[in-house]
Amino acid sequence: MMFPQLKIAALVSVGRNPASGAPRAARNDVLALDAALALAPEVSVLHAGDAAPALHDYLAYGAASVEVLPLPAGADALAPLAARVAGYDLILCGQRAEAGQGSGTLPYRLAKALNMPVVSAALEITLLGDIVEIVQFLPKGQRRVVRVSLPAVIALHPLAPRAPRYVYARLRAGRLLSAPALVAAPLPVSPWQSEPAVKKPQKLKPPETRQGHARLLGAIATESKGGALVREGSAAEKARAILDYLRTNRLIEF
Amino acid sequence: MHSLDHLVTLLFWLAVAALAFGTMRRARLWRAGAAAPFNWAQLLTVPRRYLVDVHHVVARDPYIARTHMLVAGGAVAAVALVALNYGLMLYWPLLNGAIVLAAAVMLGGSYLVWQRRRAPLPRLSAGPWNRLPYTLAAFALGLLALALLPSALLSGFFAALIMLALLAGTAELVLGIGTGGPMKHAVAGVLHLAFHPRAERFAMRSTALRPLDLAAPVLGVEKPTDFRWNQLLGFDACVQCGKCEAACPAFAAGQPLNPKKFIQDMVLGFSGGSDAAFAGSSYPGITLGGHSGAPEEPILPALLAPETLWSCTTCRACVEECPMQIEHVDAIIDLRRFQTLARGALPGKGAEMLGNLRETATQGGYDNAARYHWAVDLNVRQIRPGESVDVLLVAGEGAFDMRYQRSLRALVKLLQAASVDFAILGALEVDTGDTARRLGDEATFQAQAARLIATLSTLTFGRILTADPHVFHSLKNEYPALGGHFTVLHHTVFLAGLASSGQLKLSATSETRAITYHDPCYLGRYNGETEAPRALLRQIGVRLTEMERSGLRGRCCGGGGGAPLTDIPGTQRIPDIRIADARATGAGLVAVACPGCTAMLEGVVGPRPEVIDVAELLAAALEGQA
Ligand code: SF4
Ligand code: SF4
Repeated sequence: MMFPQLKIAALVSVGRNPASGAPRAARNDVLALDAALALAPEVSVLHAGDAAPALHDYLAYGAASVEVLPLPAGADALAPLAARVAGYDLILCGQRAEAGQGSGTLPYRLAKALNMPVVSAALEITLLGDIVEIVQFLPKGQRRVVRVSLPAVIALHPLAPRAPRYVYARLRAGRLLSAPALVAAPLPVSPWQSEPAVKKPQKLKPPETRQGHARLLGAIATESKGGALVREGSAAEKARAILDYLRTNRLIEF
Repeated sequence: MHSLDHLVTLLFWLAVAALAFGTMRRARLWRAGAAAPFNWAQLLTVPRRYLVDVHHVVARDPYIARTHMLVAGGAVAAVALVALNYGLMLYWPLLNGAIVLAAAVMLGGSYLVWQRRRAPLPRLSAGPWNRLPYTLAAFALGLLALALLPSALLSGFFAALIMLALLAGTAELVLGIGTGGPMKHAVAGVLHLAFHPRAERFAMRSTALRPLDLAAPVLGVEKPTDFRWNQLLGFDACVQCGKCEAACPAFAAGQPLNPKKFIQDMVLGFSGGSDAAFAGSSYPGITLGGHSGAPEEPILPALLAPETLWSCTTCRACVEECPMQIEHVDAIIDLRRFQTLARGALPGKGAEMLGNLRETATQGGYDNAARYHWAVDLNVRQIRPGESVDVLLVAGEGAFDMRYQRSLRALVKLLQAASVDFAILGALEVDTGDTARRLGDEATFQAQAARLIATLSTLTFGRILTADPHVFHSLKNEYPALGGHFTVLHHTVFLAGLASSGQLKLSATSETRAITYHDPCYLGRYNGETEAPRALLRQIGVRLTEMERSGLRGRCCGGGGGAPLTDIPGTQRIPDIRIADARATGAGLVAVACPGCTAMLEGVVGPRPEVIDVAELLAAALEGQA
């Protein structure tokens, strides 16, 4: 159902492709935009930062225009965004950015600044008058339905079941708008500590020696994967059996 | 002189008027289409295009070639003579004699039409087409009687009978174009040959898609009237012979596509109406009567189901078989362009692949820097700006596929053995955008092409070599329209040259299994290259057993046109059909020359002939090899 009288904003960021690092529309924010467009025909699509070319992707995904709120490098997007969306009924965004800090705290901080409820991990959003019902993602396939009254901030889960469409004709028709600069504070000092990553132990697997076709056949047949069970013998004999296995499969080189 | 003669004169001129009126009516429908260049002088090209190009296709089926020659030749001659003798009111007995001859020829042809339609092939349309032998015979018989029997001797009853036969035959001949009857093809076919939307095809093999103006108000075709007027005219030329249907791999696999029905649906689109009266095979799995169209209505989904549009592998088998020179694939791509660019409505993994292309310049979303990992240990030069090289190897998306890397490595081995001065494009390579273009995403294609052309223009090389016919086709045939002019060679052509000049020394293959060769559509039908791979195989002593559908008439592996991405279900898979073709020859090995074909055919499960690239077979037969 469409609710034209509602003022809805979608907050979008510049993401990055994990393989190439190329800037793109952040997948999670695309879902937020798509969810917003399903609720109202007119959505204010806002980005705090530079007018990056990758923002055009949001036009293709359905934004009539993207309003760019200028933000000095290293500044906190919170203040300009909070000032811009004050008075809105519903503010949607992705749960976490793909680039930059990606701390996932923006929805919470924004809700706090605006004194609104915040719901994260939203999969589905249904409006019931001035109440909004949200299906929330929980691990292991579980779901939870929560209701909040408007206005509210809702962060979409990356697995929200939506199928946004990339449409070149919309990209061609849409525009980036730059808004006047607003005062912004520097980013808050991160409360996080960093520590060196620990290398996890790796499971050794014998290399696949079969050809592609044999592997395919193996995938459709239910044969055993080979190997042997060593129950008998002393600890040294068992260790020798393991060593032999590792050597024949060239998992160790000595 | 007799009043019957005058009656025939009257009938003749009435028929001329009806034909002119009907043609004008039909032309109004065509002219609702978008603009295309027009020049009356093109009518002069018709005889040549008919006798050479149409005949070339029709002659593959000698029975129907003979039949059409007799019926159409007889009819045209008879009508011309009637025009002279009766139209101009000469009434010379000598001309009547000639009419007898022409009518007899036509009658013989009508008999052959009748024979053919007694037990019609499933690809033929029934309905109004079934009355054709009778109306044609009536016309011929009427003329025979008129010209043979001295009219003074005729009884009134007999004269009326002759007139009735002539009337029935004439009605069939001249009303078709105005009412959309079977004989519509005579007028529309002639005009279509003259004003063909792809006129280049009469001069050379022309398969490149037309670039789309990305600033155009409508991107591609949404409504029938978005087609150019000469495309609409082309649809009208269809004789519903169903040769395209019999050749279509998607139709054979039970996917909801039938090129013949598709063309008839496009006719319905610009002339308006429902498909309930269609007298041929429907799209597999879609019942007749559920679709209708109108000139200003969107074609999808009312007239055409999206699954139909996305089933096509763009293999061009339909175009190759069509006696009327209709361009099915161009129309399908026009429709896809609108669906993709203006609606974003691609099924399956299509949209994901396009996103990958835009973000990573690879179809699979890989790290483009890994494109040349297959060659790291081969001691191959990577090209750099400022260094010149004779042959530049462009690998394509197959470079990421562990199976196809084997073929590429075999190719490198051959090039090294022949001391070719070559280099790879390395991490500088980006995807050609070919698959994006087949899926209708002209924007992404043109962006990719601009990137690749810009890269290539900074480098100094003589020729481009590729093992991927899709890369070959787009670089060779489609990039020129975007400003990229290169000499491009497919590896089979290049290697055949090396082998025949003696630069590449090959010995006899040790392969003992029977071998057949699968023609990639984008090498064979798109580029006419069927000989080089065969010559190479002969060179290493292979005696090919050909599949029933091979060469220019080869059957698609199912991998073209982005079909593996859109993945429209059918009752079986196209590669399974192709492997069955190979099995039928008794071959234990299928030689291929395309990463797409390799992947599709190797994906067939169960016991099957082994699939090996020509380059791999050659590399194993290199002279002086241990
Ligand atoms: S499109 Fe061509 S091949 Fe297909 S039915 Fe029509 S005339 Fe025959
Ligand atoms: S191009 Fe190939 S798949 Fe497409 S309609 Fe023609 S024959 Fe069928």
